[in-house]
Amino acid sequence: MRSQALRSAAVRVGTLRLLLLGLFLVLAARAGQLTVVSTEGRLQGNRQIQTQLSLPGARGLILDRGHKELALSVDAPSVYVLPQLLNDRPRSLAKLAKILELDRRHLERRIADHKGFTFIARWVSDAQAKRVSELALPGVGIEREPRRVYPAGRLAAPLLGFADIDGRGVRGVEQMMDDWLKGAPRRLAVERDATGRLLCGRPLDPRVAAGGDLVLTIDAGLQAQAEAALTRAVEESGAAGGLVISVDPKTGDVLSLAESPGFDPNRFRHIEYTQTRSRAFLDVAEPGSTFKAFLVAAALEAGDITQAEPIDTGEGWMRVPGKTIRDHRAYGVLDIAGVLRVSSNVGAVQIAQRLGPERYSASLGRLGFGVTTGSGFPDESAGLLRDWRKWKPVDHATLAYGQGVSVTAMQLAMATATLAAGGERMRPRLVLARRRALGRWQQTRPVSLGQAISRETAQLVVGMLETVVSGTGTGRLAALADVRVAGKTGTAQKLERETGRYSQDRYTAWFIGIAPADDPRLAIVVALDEPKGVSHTGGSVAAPLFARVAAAQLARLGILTRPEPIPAEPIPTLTVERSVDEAPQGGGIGGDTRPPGALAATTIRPEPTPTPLESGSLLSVLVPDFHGESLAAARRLAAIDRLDLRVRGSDRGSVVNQSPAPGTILAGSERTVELSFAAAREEG
Amino acid sequence: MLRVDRRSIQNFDWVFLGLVLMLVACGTVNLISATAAGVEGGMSDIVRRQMAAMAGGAAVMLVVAFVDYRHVERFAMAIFAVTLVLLVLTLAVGVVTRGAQAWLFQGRFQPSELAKIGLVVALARYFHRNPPRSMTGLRQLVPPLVLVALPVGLILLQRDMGVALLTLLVALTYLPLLHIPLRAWSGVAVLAMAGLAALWSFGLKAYQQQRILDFLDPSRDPLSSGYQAMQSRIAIGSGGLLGTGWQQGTQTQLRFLPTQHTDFVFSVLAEEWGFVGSTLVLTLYFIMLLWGLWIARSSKDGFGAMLAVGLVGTLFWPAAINIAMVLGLAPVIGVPMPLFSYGGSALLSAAIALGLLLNVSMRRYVF
Repeated sequence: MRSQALRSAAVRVGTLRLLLLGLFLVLAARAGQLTVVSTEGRLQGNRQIQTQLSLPGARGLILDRGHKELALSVDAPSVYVLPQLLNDRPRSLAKLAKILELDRRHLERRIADHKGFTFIARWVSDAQAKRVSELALPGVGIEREPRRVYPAGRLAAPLLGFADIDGRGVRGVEQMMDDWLKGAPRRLAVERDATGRLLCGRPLDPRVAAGGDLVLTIDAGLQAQAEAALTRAVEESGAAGGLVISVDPKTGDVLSLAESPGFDPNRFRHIEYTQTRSRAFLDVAEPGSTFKAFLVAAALEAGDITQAEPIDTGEGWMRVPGKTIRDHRAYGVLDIAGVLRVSSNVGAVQIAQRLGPERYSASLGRLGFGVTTGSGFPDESAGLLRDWRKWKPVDHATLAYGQGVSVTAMQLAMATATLAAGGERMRPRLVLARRRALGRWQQTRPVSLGQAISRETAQLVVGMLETVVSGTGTGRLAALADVRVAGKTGTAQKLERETGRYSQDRYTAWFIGIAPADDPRLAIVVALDEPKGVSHTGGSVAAPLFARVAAAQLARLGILTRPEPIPAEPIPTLTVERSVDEAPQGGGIGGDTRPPGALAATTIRPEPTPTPLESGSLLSVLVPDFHGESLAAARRLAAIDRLDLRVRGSDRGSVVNQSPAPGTILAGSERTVELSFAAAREEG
Repeated sequence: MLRVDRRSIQNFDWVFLGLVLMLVACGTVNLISATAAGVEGGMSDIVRRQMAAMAGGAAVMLVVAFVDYRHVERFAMAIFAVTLVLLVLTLAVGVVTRGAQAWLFQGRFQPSELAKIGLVVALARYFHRNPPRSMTGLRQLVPPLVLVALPVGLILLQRDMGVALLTLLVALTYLPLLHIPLRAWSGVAVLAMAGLAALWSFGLKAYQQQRILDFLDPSRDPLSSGYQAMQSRIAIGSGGLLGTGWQQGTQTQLRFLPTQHTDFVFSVLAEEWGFVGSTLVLTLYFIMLLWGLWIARSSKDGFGAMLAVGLVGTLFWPAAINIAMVLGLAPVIGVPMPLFSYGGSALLSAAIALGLLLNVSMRRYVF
């Protein structure tokens, strides 16, 4: 029996049910809005898990021609802070500052500036990282970041450049090839929880995110030899610096690029940025008399003048409007080769005047002056070659001997290589091959920039440049035993920045050379900046350096030779009838018009006799990797670099241990490598 | 007193029990996931403790179900008095947790959970003796108001604003049953407004006012209760239609969500099971509540009907407020979700409520 009251209550319960249902629908609708309709929550959620941190992927390797590692990436710990989660800030920071050897106030400022994830110390030592993680402070963590390491230290540093703390290439090849070398940001692999700890979601093969690898055209061995020779020459001459570039003329490959002063790219954080530039690509200087080689090439190519044509240099001086041009002494009448041999300014000006500014300028342009070499090297300079229409007669005259024009050493090297390669100008090649991470090596092709001058002219000029490296030439200290050398010296006065005048005591000593002259394998440019002392000329300081570098590098290329300075001979003067008609027209090296001394120096060679080298005259070498070689193979390898071998214990089997380690640079008379052998285990 | 009528066994409400067991299963599965972060395999201590509490709860529920509720009617005021004494005892010797002095027995037991049941029992008795039909003036509301004011006042003294509000709302469940004239409603509204204003200025601590302000604008302080609300919305939003899967919720497994095993346990459910899963659980819960109201309607005894309505209230309001809070529709006031949140006292009070509902249900044919 249900009472009246109860029945009424039942109706009311119905009302209650409706209210309940209404509320249920509101909640369900809201749940639908948050989960399905609105995407805001999901986006925010993804943002806070896979958050601000974007780790740079490991940069690719940089290898030399022989696949020796010049730059690689390793993991280094860095300390970060999530300021929001940091509690008891003063004490936490004080502890951190102590371990990391940082200023506490500096830390506080740094954190005050950042709300989110902040690195407070990058690339700390493993010991420091361990101590920080032992503190177990909330909001403080260790993150392993890729760090760039240059195992060869200073070797080729200006060419390599370096990658900064965030893994961006900022100089040299590192900058030039940054897009290739840099890895993909490793964001996907990282999730973080509410306390900021990193959780590695899926294990990612680091090689997938890694950047591509490079093989450079430089050879660490040639590079080490060039650098060692340069360092010695800079010390001996008291120069402020210097550089040696050697190029393979046929391909344009830069085989070595030594610069002094260099730097250690591992310490880039402590080095002034300007000190990390490549002087060979970025700095410009006046080429001085080395330019006469290109003047002669231009004049012969134009055909207005023949090689036998007599040039009367008179009393060793001449007047052009506004300036008197002088030689060191009176050379009398010379032929063109003679102008190069004694480096006569008066003779060069006369040749330039016959050629005229327009054709001279055009020819220099074809040889690559006034434009960049096209190497792609970052911030490469184009030098300064002014428009010929603005040349005054005095400008035209001084340009004949390389004054009033600025070039980079690389431009000079490539123009020299052009002469060596029969007139074909190549683009300098720095990268020999490259591959994507986990990919295959792809060779880069040599690029020809066209025929700058004819093959005949180029060969003619190289022949004339051989006389420079003769007993009567300015470049006689560049001579090599059993190898023909062509070259040109230059001594350029530096411009005083304050006065705008040419300095009387600051010079750039140049030597450009080609070896062997009859089958050019190397085109080398040597420069010494501000050599001190009486001998400061290209012939006296740069030429011997060339000889040392060329000898060492040719030996590595399989041509055994050594520096062999030619003693100075009394300077012959050529007397030629002053009759233009009698002079033979057209090209071809006419031996009868050449001075006897020069002829002997270039064509008559003693029979090659293997001369034992004195250890004192030897250059630094890079110790090769003997591991896995047999004794016979090790001997062959050692012979290339003239290393002595000492065997510890048995000499059977293959090398298992060596001292010094591969890649060590040996200098001076200590040239012994100790090897240990172990017999290969017999199978079965 | 313990003699059980055979008919009541025959009329045992298996449907209601089934609904309850399904919800408890869902809650347990969800709790395992909510506490899984950082636990290597197996179950966390929290789940173990909750399961022990469930075993105890089941026993309590069965005992409560088989003791004839007319005995409860007889001892209604005594039961009410006991809960009040417990509340007073809490004030005297209780443990302060998170700003509220609401715990007894070294922080293991929260008497205010029992006070809700005590109040419902007392109100059901009052409305049974004084049927709403016969109410003619507001003066007749004074006794029930006193009944409500006693526990609510004591809970407010404990500084447990959330539970006080909840207890008040449970009492308000009876409001639609009362025959209050229209003009009286305006009086009630004015009273309510005045009460709220007084509560704001005297009843609420600064942090509680803060919470309400945070609710109105969650981003004003992302590290306090606004942070919880924001993280909850993010977690739910990450769920989408079908959810990320059990123990696969990124926000919950990475512990962005605070108190995810207690107050924000529903966010875990929403992230991992999505809109479909969470709505399914919501539906189940509301079917259970509707079944409770059906029990009230089919009771042939006034006290039974009134008791059932109040008990449905004790199950409805915490759930509604908790989910509204999780969904960002209400301020964060620390109300757990019955049968889903971790917590022994809440489970005990839910077990008693469910037991009483079963009790009323199986005796619907007795009279």
